[in-house]
Amino acid sequence: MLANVYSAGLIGLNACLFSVQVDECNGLPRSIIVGNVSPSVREGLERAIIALKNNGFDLPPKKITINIQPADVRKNGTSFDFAILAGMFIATNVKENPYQNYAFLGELGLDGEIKHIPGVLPMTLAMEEAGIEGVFVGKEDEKEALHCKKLKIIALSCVREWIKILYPFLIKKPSLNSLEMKLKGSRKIEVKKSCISQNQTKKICMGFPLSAKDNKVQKEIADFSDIAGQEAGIRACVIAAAGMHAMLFSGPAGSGKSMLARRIPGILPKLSEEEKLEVSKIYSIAGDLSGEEGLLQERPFRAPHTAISQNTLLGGMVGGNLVPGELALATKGVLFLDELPLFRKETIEALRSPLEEKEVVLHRLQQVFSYKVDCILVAAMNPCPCGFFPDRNRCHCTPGQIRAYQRGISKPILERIDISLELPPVALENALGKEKKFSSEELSKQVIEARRRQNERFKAEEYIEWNSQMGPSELEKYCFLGKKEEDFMKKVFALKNLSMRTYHKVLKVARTIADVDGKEDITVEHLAEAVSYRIVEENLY
Amino acid sequence: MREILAMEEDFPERLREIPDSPKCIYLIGNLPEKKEPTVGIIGARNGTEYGKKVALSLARELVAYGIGIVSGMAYGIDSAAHRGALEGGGKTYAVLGSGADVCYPAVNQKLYEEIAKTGGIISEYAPGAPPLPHHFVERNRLIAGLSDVLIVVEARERSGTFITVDRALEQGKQVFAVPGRISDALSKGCNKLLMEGAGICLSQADILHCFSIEAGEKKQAEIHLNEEENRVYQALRLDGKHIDCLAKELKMSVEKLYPILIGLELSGYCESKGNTYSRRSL
Repeated sequence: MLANVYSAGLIGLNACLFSVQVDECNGLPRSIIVGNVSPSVREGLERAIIALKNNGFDLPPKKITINIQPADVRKNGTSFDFAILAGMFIATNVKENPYQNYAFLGELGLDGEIKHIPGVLPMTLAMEEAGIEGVFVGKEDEKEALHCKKLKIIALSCVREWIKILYPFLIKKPSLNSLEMKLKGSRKIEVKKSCISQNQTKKICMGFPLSAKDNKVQKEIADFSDIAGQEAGIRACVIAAAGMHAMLFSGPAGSGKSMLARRIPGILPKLSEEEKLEVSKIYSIAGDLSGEEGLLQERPFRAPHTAISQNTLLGGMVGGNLVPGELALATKGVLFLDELPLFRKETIEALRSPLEEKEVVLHRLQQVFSYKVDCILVAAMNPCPCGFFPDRNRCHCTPGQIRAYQRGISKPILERIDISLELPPVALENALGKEKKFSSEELSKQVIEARRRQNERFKAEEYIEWNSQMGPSELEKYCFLGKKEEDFMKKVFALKNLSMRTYHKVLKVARTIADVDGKEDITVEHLAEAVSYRIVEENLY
Repeated sequence: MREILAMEEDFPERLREIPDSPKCIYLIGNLPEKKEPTVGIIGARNGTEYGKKVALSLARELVAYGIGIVSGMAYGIDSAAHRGALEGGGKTYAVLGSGADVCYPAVNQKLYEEIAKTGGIISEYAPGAPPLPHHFVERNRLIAGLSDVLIVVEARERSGTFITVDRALEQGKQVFAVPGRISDALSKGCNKLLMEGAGICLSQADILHCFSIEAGEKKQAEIHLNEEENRVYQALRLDGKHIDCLAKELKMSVEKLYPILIGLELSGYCESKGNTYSRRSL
């Protein structure tokens, strides 16, 4: 008999619905799997056969063919295991499927346990869109799958439960297989102890510095009111947050660069339900969305170590699957690159086109993947190798050393950063004294107001949400300068020797500053402030 | 480039007189004229912003009286002195530790070309000679030799600058030092010189005095500033202040300060380096 069941897999950062067809016919006994599958999918067939056997169902000695379609798409991962087993069981044992429009998601153990797979959230969302009625998932993945409102979710811990639900008459007498009994008694402890859970393996492969959970704890305590002084730095953070501008802090050790960066997610507006789903989908694929917490509630803050590779930053292949990079994991939040000059040159340079085009295009294993970049890049650097320049009482670096250090960041990268700022060293008495302080709550009001203005402005534009995404044609449309403002720009550019490329950056930032101040027109004051955020770049080159 | 042998008439009188006078020198541009007063301005390569400002300012003021500025075109104070002279539209002379056609440090290429155009590049090493460490020790005697008066702007307690000072004293030149705070590492050398009897250089007038030039009444630049701008200007110093520091002092918000500071910069009263702002002149 021919059986047809549904499952889903990941292609890049998207999930896709697949159907698994299983046919049983006369011939030499063997089972094969076709449909452009990778070894990880092919191994699933072995797992399914043995899981069936260990639950008391042997396959008949016939030729069994499994086809996963669409057959021309390369399939990866272990999400098909359960569907393969279900298809085989229906085709060979019961010959009927009462749950025609249901899908199966999960990896199998040899004992029939259904395990966690990455990407359940986007997969179930894709199923919902395709009109699937319900889905069988593992217990671990239940929380994640429940975010699909229309889909019926049936969570199971092992294959036997599924058979019991569908065909209760088949499991009347206990299984004769003694191995299964043994496993059943000891499974929980043995399995958990002997192997690392999938979540952990992923973390080891990718070197994630923070999980979504750690992230949350940190965020709760980070408020701008913890920071003494740094008025200019805080102002720059507000502007960057309002217009999603990339930002660079240069300042001596201990001046509070990372403190400022860590507090930026706190002044961004709360994630909407739609945004939560969007971000959670990516974390789900990375295997970093822990089942118990459900959707990601807070804006992500990613701070990768300086040793990070290009693949980890942009996204790379791990075991045939595309694993989202830090840039994707920071979607709707902040990607913080501390000590920017210490990153590998090629890692920083790889950020060129994502910063410019706001999109990452990856060519991996004969496939092309792309995803949108939608985060605030915040970078920080010391002014010199020892970190104390220009305090010459402590800094003994030679001018050559300082130049070499600062030039670790190329001009093209600096040009793609909208806001750059020097932070002053903070003296202890300032940190303890009664400095003017800003609370995240107050600052976030400014950001929300500026964002509201932008939403209104770009209502008609399809691809633009924030000021930082404006192209030359939009700049002409939305950043009109009066005579006085144009004269000012001419004078300042002559004085500071700024390049034409800088001109557009200044306009964009000035637009955001005007939005933060609640003004419709860009004035000289806004331009003056925007120009002041370009000075570090002019200093370095 | 010209090669001038010691026996030639064009060989500078000043260098002929010093002990261990070079056999020949290589020259791009011109030498200081016999009657042209010259001042050497030297100091640390990794000088502070303040030190560089002082060197620049002194050089700019001195060239206005027809004084040529001599230095070594190194990083820091040296470069600042040359720049100041060029800004003031005067003549400046660089004595190199490499061949006269070798620009060292390479970043000073633009400065090198400008000095060659208006003043002169001088070296006792053959064209193409690399900048070897011992060359700099030797060329310091030429800097001292070409200058009538030597000013040390900033130097650490142990500094190469003192080689030049020693040569200058051997040659009987007058040495001045710019005093600094006793806690600043880069002023320790200068303060030590003062203790040992060097002249105190507080402004260009002290130097002009040596040449018996009456320091002209410094025309007080007319300042057209509104009240707010003036308040900000009064808070600025020669060494830079970060915008946060100004904001705190003046009790103004940074977003208000940015336009005022850019305005001051456009009208030439203020200068910025990064987000640190300073007065343009003393």
